[in-house]
Amino acid sequence: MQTAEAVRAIQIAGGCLTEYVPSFSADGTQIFLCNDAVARCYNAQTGQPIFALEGHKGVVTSVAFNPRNSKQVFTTSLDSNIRVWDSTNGFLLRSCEVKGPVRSMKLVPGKASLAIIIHDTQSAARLISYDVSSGRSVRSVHKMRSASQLAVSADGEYFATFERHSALVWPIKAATKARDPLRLHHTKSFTCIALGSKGDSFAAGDASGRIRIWHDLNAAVAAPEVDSKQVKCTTVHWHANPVGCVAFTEDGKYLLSGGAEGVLVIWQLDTGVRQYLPRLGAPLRTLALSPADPSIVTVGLADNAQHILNFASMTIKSSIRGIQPANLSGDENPSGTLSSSRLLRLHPRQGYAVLSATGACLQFIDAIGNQSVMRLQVASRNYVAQPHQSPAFSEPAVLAAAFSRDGATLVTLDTRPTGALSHKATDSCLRFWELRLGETSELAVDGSGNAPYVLTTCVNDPHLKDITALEYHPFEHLVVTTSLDKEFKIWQRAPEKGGGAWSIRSVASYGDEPLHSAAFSPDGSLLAIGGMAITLWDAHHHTHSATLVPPPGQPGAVKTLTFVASSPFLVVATKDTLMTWNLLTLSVMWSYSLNITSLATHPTLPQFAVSVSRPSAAAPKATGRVETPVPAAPAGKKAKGKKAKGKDASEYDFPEEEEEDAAEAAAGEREAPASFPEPRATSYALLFDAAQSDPLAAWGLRDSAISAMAFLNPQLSSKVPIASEASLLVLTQERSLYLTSPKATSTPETGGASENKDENELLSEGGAVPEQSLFLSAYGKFKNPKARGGAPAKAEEDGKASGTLAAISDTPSHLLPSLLSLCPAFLDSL
Amino acid sequence: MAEPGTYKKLQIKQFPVRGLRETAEGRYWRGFESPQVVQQVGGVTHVDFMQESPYDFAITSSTRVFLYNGKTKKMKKQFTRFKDKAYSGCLRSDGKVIAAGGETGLVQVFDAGSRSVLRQLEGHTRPVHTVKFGTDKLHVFSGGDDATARWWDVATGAQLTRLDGHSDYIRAAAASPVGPEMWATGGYDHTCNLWDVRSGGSTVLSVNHGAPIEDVAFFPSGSLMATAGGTSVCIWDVLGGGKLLRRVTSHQKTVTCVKIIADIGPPSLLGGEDAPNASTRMITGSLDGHLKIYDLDKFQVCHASKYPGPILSLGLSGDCGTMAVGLANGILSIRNRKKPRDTVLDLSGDPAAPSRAVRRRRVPSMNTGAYRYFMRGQGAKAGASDFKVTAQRRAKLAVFDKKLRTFHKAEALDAALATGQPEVVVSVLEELAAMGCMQDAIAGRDAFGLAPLLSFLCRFLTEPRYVRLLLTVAQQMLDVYGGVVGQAPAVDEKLRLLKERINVELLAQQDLFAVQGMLDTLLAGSMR
Repeated sequence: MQTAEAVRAIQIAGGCLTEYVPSFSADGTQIFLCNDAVARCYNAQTGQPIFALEGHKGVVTSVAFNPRNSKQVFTTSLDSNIRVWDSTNGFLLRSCEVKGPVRSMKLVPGKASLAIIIHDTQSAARLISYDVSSGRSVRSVHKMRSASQLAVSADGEYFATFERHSALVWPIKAATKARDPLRLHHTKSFTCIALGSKGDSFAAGDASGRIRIWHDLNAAVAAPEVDSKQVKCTTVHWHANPVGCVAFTEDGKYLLSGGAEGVLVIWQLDTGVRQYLPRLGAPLRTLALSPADPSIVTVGLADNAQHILNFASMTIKSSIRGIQPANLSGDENPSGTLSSSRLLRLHPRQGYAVLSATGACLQFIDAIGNQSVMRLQVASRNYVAQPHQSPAFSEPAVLAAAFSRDGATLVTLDTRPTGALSHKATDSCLRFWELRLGETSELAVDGSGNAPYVLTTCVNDPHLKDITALEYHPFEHLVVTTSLDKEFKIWQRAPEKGGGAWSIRSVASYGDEPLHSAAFSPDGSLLAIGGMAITLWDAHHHTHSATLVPPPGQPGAVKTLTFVASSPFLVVATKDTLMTWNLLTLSVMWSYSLNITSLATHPTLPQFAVSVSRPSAAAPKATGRVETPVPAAPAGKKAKGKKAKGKDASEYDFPEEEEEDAAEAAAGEREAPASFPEPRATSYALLFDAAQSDPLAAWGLRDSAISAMAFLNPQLSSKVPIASEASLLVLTQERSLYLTSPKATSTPETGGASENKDENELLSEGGAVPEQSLFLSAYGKFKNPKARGGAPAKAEEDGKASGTLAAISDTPSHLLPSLLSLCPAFLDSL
Repeated sequence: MAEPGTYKKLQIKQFPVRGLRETAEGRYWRGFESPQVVQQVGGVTHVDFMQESPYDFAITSSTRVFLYNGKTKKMKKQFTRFKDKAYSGCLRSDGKVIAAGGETGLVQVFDAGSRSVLRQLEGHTRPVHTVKFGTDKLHVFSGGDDATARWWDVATGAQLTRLDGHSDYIRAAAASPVGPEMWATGGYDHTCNLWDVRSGGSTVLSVNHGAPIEDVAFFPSGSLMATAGGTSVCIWDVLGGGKLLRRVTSHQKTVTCVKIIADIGPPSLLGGEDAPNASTRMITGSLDGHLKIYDLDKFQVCHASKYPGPILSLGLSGDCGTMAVGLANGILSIRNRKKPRDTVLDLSGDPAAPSRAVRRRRVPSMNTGAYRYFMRGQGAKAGASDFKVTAQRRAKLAVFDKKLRTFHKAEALDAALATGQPEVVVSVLEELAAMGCMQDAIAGRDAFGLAPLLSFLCRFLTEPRYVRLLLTVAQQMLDVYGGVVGQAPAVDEKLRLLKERINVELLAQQDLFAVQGMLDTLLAGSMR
């Protein structure tokens, strides 16, 4: 491992901000959010990030302020650690280990260093009281089937949790002495609980949308033998869906509740009057009240946004957004090849990562600064909760976006659901936007956080069927869309200056087959359209110039294709093959049997990256081969049943299709790198130089799938210390952004910050030392030295000397392996 | 972007602009207002305009010739001194004298003012279908069914020349604009003859149209001539010895009239400010009821309009401000062209006009009882140093938006239907479908409440741009109300109408498929 350092590429953005309850600082000016393994501090007034508390190795599950010392903040994590930080600057003060992963922790007000903790293990959860100053557990209070919510009253007299159909309330004495809890039963299972500040009232929301409020708990808790039915209880019902979260205000006069409706309901408990703050845009998950200002509450939504709002004036004061999910339901429209979760574009001016967000928005993310800079509402739709989770319901979503070279024009494609209305599942709309800058010439955030793009043209149903690709010409105002309706259309901006209106310029089709992909060449002269065959068109006159017929035996429609910058190559991916075409000879340069999930090309270098996913630890079905440039002679078929002979590091042969063989090979190689212990789904990003079939570098991403990749803009990435010339931005299915650096030397060995990221680290290996590369651990060794020339390999299989000779003499010289490797074969054949 | 917490207005779906592409030519010809229709007793066989202001015009219908005022487009005089049908009532260019032929063969000349018969020109033995004044205002040219054309002196009432050469009825005559004594006649013997009335006797030139000629017209240059007959119009080079330049066939039935009008059409893009009107246009009318306008560069139809009957005659005033078209079913259609905007501006260019405008804009006196008094200062602009307080104005919502906001689905649909705009209804229906509550919005209506939706469906179900959505809506509506059909007569009537609409559309689709099949066969054949 001395030559190939394990480069820990950094997760630079992403993660959920709203899964766990946040905490306000005592003065209400700061808010601490749990964001995966990090807790982040934001300004509650502006929503700007201040600092991050980095150090936990597991997901941070709660943030709590020391009631005695407001400058100390406690974080708990699933890595069985509790850490204490200075809340003013984020320095780590203390760390103590506890018995197991902590799901939830509440510090008891008024009691020095007493905390109630829910431990979450695989089989069961435990409610334990702790002394956080010493780090010792005081008493195991209760054992539960699974971890649920924990509530402690503001006066520190009671704590409560719930377990399915019953809620349990203890007096605080139970933390040190054995006491039976008060059990409050209900016919429906509870979903959330809250204790009033004085401890005299207790609210619990249930799965049917009802909220039960118990009053005067003091007597009942004091004598838990009393039948819980005698405790005074009122039931209020507004929510149609399970209640997501409830919270009492500090004075106990109001109860706040929220759920999947996206409405914050404010219950005035004395009068029963309800007030609503509707249309928050997504289901409510968490509620946290500010200790300083009784009317300030932060609402965590399922779309990964925290809105800090004033429920007295019913206004949103500020919003904190992480990378938002592409859609709330999580399921994608499987028919189209475009999907909103795969949308990743880089803004040409600022390099913001542009992603699709819920509610048919585009989100502009400063990936380096891990900040949502602005949003663009593409289609204006109101969020409507579906009462019964109807499966037919689909959300409006932005499927594709493309920028012009200068970023002044934006094209988006969004779909909106038509319900069970027509034969088409969705209704698509192509929109063209113009950048309208205000006083500043730079793309800057205005107060509203809206991207300054103005809609100029809107085309409803641009194609009869689903659109499969959307690309912008690199220089001119031309946009191409391909569709399953067998046509591709080229749109142009009206030539009149200042018009900005777009119209269709030409419609064309090739053969009678649906089209799946399109790409403009980097110099803007060619347009490649991928269907069953690849067709090349003149980008200016829209005339057909060439057809690339895939080699026989490689059926399957082109899934995606792209030109490689500053080289005459076209990279084409079908369902199971990755091919590189040379456009000068109109022939395949090399190909792999790989199932590509995404493809990205470098803007200037002749490099491209592909991502593959491996569903399990089983051997990949990849079989590499290098083809002769003559498509008619696909001589290098899979070298089946061949056993490994010599090992030559400079030559590649992927493992054969026999499972044991490949698994063996993979297992053999696995000792060198920090191997992955049985990954659930590992995806790999491979960096290629288009002229060579050997990958330059490879990274594995554990337990995750790569949705999209993009190369950082070179001039932009130069500003970023961790990035290099060919830094790749990787978007995973979990909506996190990773930055990789292909060159180990260009990336500094990162310190403590990145050490903590090992849960999802990316390991990079130099391609030149394949013995230690992760690529080899995934795909095994290259065994056959002659696999590069397909014909010799095949001939050798026959075992006939004349065949080998003929094959060597027939193969073009530039495709033959090196003479050194040919020599033994030649001698053997004599 | 709307902040969270605010209702986002429903976006009304926009559809591409319907109809033909907008051209300058189309804009110009659509500038002729919707017609003023006058029903006559018989077919309007002839329309003739005087060439000077006020552009009075004479029309011939049945046994009468009517004189219309060019300004008011109202009938001014009628000439009834005909024993049988009158033909070809024509006005002299100054509008003072009218000449007309007739079924009896008598050519009569009337005083347009007093309606008295000035001359009766006897000579034709058969009906006279064409009578024209010479450009010198002193002579009359007539052509009759006796296959002769005659040249009369109006002052003396004497026949100067008799032109024999046609072998069948003469139905058209036109004087050359460059030589007043050169006349072209067209007859049912398929020939068009060119005569010099000074020499008399023999034809100068004779061309064969190939069909009975209905009308003849010279180009303003006098070098070209157009003849109309059968379904085609032929353009002849007169100076080139009668060479056929072009045969234009764009009508389905007999072309009955052809006119060539100079200085008409939209302003040319090539000509600068000096060229007010572009060029010359040819206008033809046909028994198929179509009026077509051709540009003379390529003889392509640049505009067409449909009339509710076979066109027999047409005429345009000299300033191209009025077009009168006579139909065989007795309808006279008079269309008036709106004055172009720029002439109005020219008028206001004189120094008197601005003062008038200023006077009109005089600020009325403000008293404390006036509305203006209370609204004073509302339009004032804030200065640069002023502190601006942005008013929190609520977004104005349409009724259907208000109902959608509060989830009153059926009422939202009703409100959308009440707007009468199909785009709005379609957008609301799509929104309801996306919310998954289309059935809720449709269901629960009585016969009265269902009527607007049914009417909308009847009207727009077969509209191609809405059909995809509305078919599903109709199906859902039938699902909901299928069990109660037959209880309300009004609903049943609408449902019957809906069925009929669908049947008509299905038949049309079948026809289209048949045509497509034919075309495919033809195309496949031509490819080989």
